Amino acid sequence: MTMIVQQLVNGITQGGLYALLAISYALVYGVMGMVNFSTGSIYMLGAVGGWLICHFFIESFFLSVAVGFCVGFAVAFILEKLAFRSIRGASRISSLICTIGFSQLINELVALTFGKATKGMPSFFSRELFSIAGVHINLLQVVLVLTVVVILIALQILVYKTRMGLAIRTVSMDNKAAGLMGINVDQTISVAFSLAGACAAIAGLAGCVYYRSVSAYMGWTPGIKAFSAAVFGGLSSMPGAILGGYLMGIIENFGVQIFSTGYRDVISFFVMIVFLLVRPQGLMGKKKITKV
Amino acid sequence: MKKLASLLLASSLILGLAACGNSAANNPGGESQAPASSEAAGGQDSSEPIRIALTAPLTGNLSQYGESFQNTVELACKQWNEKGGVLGRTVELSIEDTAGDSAQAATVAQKVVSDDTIFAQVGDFNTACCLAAQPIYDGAGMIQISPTCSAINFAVGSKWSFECLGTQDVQGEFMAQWAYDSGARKVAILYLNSDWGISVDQGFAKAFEALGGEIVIEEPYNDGETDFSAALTKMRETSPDALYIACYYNDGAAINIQRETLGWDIPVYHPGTVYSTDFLSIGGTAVEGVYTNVGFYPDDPTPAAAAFIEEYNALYGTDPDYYGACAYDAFNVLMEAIERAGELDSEKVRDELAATSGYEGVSGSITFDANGDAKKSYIKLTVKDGAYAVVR
Repeated sequence: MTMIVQQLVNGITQGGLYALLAISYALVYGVMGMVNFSTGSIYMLGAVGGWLICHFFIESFFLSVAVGFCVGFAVAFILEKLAFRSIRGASRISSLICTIGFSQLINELVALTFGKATKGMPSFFSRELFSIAGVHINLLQVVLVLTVVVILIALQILVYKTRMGLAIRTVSMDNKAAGLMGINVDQTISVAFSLAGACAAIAGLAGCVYYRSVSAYMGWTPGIKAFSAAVFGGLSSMPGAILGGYLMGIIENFGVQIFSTGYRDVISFFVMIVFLLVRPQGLMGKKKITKV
Repeated sequence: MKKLASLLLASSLILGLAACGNSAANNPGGESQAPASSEAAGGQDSSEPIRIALTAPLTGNLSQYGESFQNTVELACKQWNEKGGVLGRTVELSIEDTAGDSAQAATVAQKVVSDDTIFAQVGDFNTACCLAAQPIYDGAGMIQISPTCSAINFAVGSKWSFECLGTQDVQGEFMAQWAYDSGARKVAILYLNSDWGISVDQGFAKAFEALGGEIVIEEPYNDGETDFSAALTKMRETSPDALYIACYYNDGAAINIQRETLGWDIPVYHPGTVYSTDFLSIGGTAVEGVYTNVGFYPDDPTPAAAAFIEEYNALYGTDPDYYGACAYDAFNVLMEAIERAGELDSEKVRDELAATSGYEGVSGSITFDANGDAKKSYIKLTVKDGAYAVVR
């Protein structure tokens, strides 16, 4: 029982990171119909941004989160303006390759300037909060879970309660019709894309604080796993992506408990494949009806 | 505007590719310029340099170790040339990057054996690369001396293969005895799922069980894993007295950090691979009190090591690490063997190398056994107040 609760706590902490990343995929997919494989690199940039702040200025968690947000927002904004806008409407394959190319570009640029070696982060909130019947909960885990939840709620409010959110949802439904209704499609896509970048960067920052290490290649694995989580939850649905992220984290942790760490990825992908065979649109995605 | 944007896009992508290409293909050593002459290395033409290939992970996850190899072997090579070379000929290095990747190691090995100006090879760092390259050197009859390959199935696999670190069986016995003497009876093992990690796991488990201890769980993890909290939680369930964790320094730091986050206070033993200053700087308070071993400890050096450390420091501005010291020794025992053989004949040099006994290297005394494995001694280390300290 102790173990089940402890693995659940581990899974929720880790799942929060996946959820933030998955929502980043879902936002971009929603407005652009494109899978952005540079999400993992933006995750890494958020972590590097946080590391620079802690290393050169001040060791502050919340300042790092703010900087992570800005870095992700700015990089995604520039990427969208510079690159993805010009390939919008191109075939899915070419935009996919383009995002992978940018991911490589960012990773290698960071490796060249920041160095390839793993670097350590200072520890934040490392105090043990409480331990009941052998279940240990660290203050850091609580702070991370709360940070993720606050951001996810803020994002939900933005998307479902504001005019900007309405525009984003409209563009996701049909960007041509949205344009005809007087919505500034370019601006909406730009905002959604930048927000997605900010989410990924904050996930990266949370990741580097949780694991206390930063490296130029840290984004690849979480990026791929979160993409699977987003597909699992339903790529076209934001709540679905969140649910997918958390479930992925929890399934992985229990998978390790039951089988072995070596099979971690096998288990999560197996569950995902079986699930998608039964329900291809994901947990909460809607079936698209194509009219002839 | 659109055209301009796509132009920018295209050029930045090309830049990106160039950046990747650079890091993978370029030779940071820059010393492997192809020699103009195609004279065979075995030739006795004394004007031709003796060329030795150094293969190491100069890029990727293990690049820290590769860099250390390169620094120490370049230093050793320089020292030999200052003494007048070997057999009156200068020694030249051909430095090849294997990136810690076994596929690349095999390609590099092909390249090395097909270059007939190269006489022998020093490297690689990790077991997977050494094993992948072994059949190629074996087929070509080229000496392959790895400074650090400690898998029990490596040196025994070919008469041309040697290693200077000592096998995991010996290190496993040493660590098992230490853990047992400190009172541990139930040990949980977490190991990197690689040729090396498996041999570390088995070396320790075999020795610990022979002492009468119990291995309660053996948990593998894959390369690239970042989250260890699930594995640690699972291991905690088995309530061991101590942990034995087979990993490199960056994973080692991550594992200890997550162990600390889980509030799990338990003695942790590592093989010598975590011995690195980065392990301390990344791990911080979490690695305080963990146990490991080295064969070479810069703060308490033997006379041979003291001179080496001083020269290394003068050249590179930092202390050498243990693996670099092993690479330095590997290169030197090879040169000594060539000197003793008196000619560049692979068969003769191999026999001389195999006869190396009691060589006082900087990483400890080296004697090769019948398999080509070095017998080494170890120093017990722990982390105290953010620095390594000898356990007496």
